[in-house]
Amino acid sequence: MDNSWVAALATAGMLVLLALGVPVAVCLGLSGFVGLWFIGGWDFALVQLESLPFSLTSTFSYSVLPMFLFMGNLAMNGGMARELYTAADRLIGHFRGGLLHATVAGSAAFSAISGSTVVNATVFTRISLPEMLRHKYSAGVAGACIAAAGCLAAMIPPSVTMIVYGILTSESIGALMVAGVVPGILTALAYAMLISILVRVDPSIAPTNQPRASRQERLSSLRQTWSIALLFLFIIGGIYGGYFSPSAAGAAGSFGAMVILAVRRRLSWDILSRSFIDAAVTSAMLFLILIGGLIFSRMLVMSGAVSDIVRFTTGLQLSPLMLMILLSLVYLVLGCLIDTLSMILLTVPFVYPVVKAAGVDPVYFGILLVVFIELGAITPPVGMNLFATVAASDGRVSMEQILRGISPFVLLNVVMLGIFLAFPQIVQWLPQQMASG
Amino acid sequence: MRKLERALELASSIATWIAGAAVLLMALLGGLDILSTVVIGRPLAAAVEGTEVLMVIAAFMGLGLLHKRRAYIAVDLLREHSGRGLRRVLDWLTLLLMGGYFGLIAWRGWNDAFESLAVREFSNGLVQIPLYPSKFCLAIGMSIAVLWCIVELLKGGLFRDATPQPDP
Repeated sequence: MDNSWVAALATAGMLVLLALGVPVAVCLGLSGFVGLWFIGGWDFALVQLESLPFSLTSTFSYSVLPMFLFMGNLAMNGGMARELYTAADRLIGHFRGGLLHATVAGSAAFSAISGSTVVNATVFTRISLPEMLRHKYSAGVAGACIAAAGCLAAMIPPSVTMIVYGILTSESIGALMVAGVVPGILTALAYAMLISILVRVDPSIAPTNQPRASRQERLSSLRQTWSIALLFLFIIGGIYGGYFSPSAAGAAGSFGAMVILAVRRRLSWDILSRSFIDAAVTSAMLFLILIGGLIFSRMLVMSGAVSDIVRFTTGLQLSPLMLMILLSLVYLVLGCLIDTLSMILLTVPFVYPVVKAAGVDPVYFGILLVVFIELGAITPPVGMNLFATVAASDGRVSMEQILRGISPFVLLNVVMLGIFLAFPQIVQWLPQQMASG
Repeated sequence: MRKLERALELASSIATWIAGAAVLLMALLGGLDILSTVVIGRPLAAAVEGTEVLMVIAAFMGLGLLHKRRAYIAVDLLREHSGRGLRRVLDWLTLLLMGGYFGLIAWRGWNDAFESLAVREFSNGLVQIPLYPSKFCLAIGMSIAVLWCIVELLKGGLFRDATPQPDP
């Protein structure tokens, strides 16, 4: 059988298994393995299965994945997220829709030490949703705001999404993280503007204003956030001060978080053990998917399908902008159908070579991919952040309510995507400044 | 069957704690490496190699708990709209394919681990660290996941519809 046919059948088989609800890691790995078997023979396929899991998980630069997960867990379990929310609430909670603003600000700041959109959505559902409901905020908009603000964790470094993209493409994870800073902050500001508009148009979304916190309360709550600010500055300062590499930043951040919690007398065995066990289990899940993804992409490369697709797309002679617009449309549809991590793993092996051949900056494309991920995480029916918010709300908000409130946030993300497409400098400016500095 | 399940629960629990300890050690090693570099101007010997070995342990020894928590990512679109009978079939299929795939990796993992032990494989670097313990951890973690699939198949093939059990 022709290798292109093998690749096509393996891809079709993988999609069928995916639709049947088989875990993504197994769909990718198994179909990739069968494809490799047909292309290179049984022994060849087995060698890949023997070498890839170990070589992937023993690569030092990928240690950022478990380490950033560990750091995020420590910060969450150690109460740092709650302190951020309290500070944001006291600073801006008295504005109309203030608790929604506080949620966005708190989630954006927590993103600086948490790399997972689902973790952010879960944490802020537990912290801010009960408060918003107590103040008679619209449950749908409150839930939607938490789910959407949680997506900032994908853009603001450190981001698991960027690490996965970096691993799959061998692009610099450090450069990706720097590139995410400005778009992340802009998206958070855009959310704040959107909330201001929403509560003006429909005051019933946030019917009550909180009393303004006293100056002393504001200052004391702000002082409580020193630990997160310090941790963030430690990581960024450490990387750009040359004290450690981006690959070691995860371990540095985890170590820093442990020291901070110990200094604040919060580092109990319970917090520590819950944090490292959860980090180990999430890492196992992510590495399993990455192993499957790499087996599958190896099969595609071996079959020649990737080169065929690149040849075909370059033959169309699309401008980089047209290509990006075309890909945006494809990703918008895909984001509604499959979960975000699977979307990266299924498409990047095909799309990355095409994008690179078209002369698009791979780091810039990585950031656009994150915007697609943000959209995918909040678009039904498989928006992971929507599920996370509903699951963590303990029945306080239903999926139907969130779906009614999510459309303005989805629309805003589409607008942000358009802005990043029209003005790539927004994404590329900071990495260029860092490189030239 | 119950005895096997209990043994597997114990194995998953021990393996998960080992994975967690590996995560903790990676953080400590990384932190001490930075301190050593900044304070005495010399990086900690074998910090990189040690991290690489620990990462393998962290990535695979947590598979038992991952399986028990049902923490795999899957697309549930079809499943949500299917009846109980079809969901049961899908659970069977999932366990069968998972068991097969993990079994292949475990099989090759054991093979690789014993080969590594036979040649006393060590990492490259100033301080040489044996690689075979981490290769055995890969095989053990995968084998625990395979055994969970087999036990659940023997118990009737409930996977996604089964209530996730509490952590060991």
